[in-house]
Amino acid sequence: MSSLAPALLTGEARTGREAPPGEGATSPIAALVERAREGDGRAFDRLMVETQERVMGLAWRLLGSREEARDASQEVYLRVFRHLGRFRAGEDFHAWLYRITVNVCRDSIRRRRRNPPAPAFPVEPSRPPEAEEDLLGAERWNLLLEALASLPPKERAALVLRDLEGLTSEQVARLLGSRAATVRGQIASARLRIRNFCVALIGGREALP
Amino acid sequence: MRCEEARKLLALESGGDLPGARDRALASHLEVCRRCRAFSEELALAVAWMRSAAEPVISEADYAAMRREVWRRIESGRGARSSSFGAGRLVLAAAGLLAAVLSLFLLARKSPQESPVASARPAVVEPPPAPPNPTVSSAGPAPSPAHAAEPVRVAVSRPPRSARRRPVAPAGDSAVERIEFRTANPNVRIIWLVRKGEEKSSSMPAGRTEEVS
Repeated sequence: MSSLAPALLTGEARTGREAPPGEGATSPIAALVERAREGDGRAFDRLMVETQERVMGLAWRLLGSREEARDASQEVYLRVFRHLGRFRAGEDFHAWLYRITVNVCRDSIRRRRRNPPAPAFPVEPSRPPEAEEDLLGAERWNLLLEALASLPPKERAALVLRDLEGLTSEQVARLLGSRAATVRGQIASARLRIRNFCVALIGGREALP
Repeated sequence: MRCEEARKLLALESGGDLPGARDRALASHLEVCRRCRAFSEELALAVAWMRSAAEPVISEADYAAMRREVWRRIESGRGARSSSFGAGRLVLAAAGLLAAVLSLFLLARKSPQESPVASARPAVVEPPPAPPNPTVSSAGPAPSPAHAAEPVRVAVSRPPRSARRRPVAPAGDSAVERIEFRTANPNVRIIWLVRKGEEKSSSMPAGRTEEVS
């Protein structure tokens, strides 16, 4: 689960659940946001460093390719840069960033549907595997991408946000602009497909890594 | 509960998305259905596998390249914005200039009729009331620019507006105004000689067409 999810929960908690009110405003991220809003380029760069793993990871899970994830991440930070002035102090920056990332990925998926890409090259790990653990990790990751690619885009987005990012169904529904019941149906359908994928995998290969 | 319904609920239950009452009904079904219990285990395993494999391997070099590209695009965006702003200013200036030229042109075309000091500036000639060239409009005071005949400015002094408006020219004024039209054919010009002070309707001006070799 991404560490972005607790931040989102914190954002909701400010309205009455867990964290004390105003916690977001005093966090290091909030301070960076404030400095970046005032035009401090170093603060904006630091903000990217602090959040890049979450943004690019989510984009990669949603889009399925490293190249697309990198392009999407660039677009996310460009939008953040352009609209940082509109971001209100005290608002949950992570939730805002999450929303932008999901929107950018959805735009990218729409573009991909309109202009299908040329056949992709085989998936390559971002760095050469150095140990057996790395190899296993890369293999697992590629299998997951394969499984996620078998899902319809809406189910994929719902599943990634709910099961891999750890958001609640209601938060996912808000992000995707759907009803919670619809999102729950999409998540259930996606889990069944993943289960079928795994069963087929076990049948075809030896076992799940 | 049927197995098909139980499996849909199991998919929700595996992520903790099932309300309590449905959860109890599902538990009752699982107690008696061995196949659904196996299905439930597979589902839990699949979700656990998916979660365990969810961390992508992204190197610091990838992140750095991404950040560099973001900064590059921000900088080029600033450049583009400023250059587009400059281009916008140029376009505005050109549009303003064009508007000024157009309004001057229109003003100049109207001035012989409306300006009270028409004699102080070169006059724009009026078209004849019934020009021989059928392409020249006889209805309006000026020929259509789309047509071949085009008035040429001639520097002749004209009487003041009040005098020109008189239906009859003042006695003894024998000055003649020369009106020259160019046609589509560069070799053909239409020249009208009109007595000053005469209204269009009061007399038909004498005209001739000459060919320029």
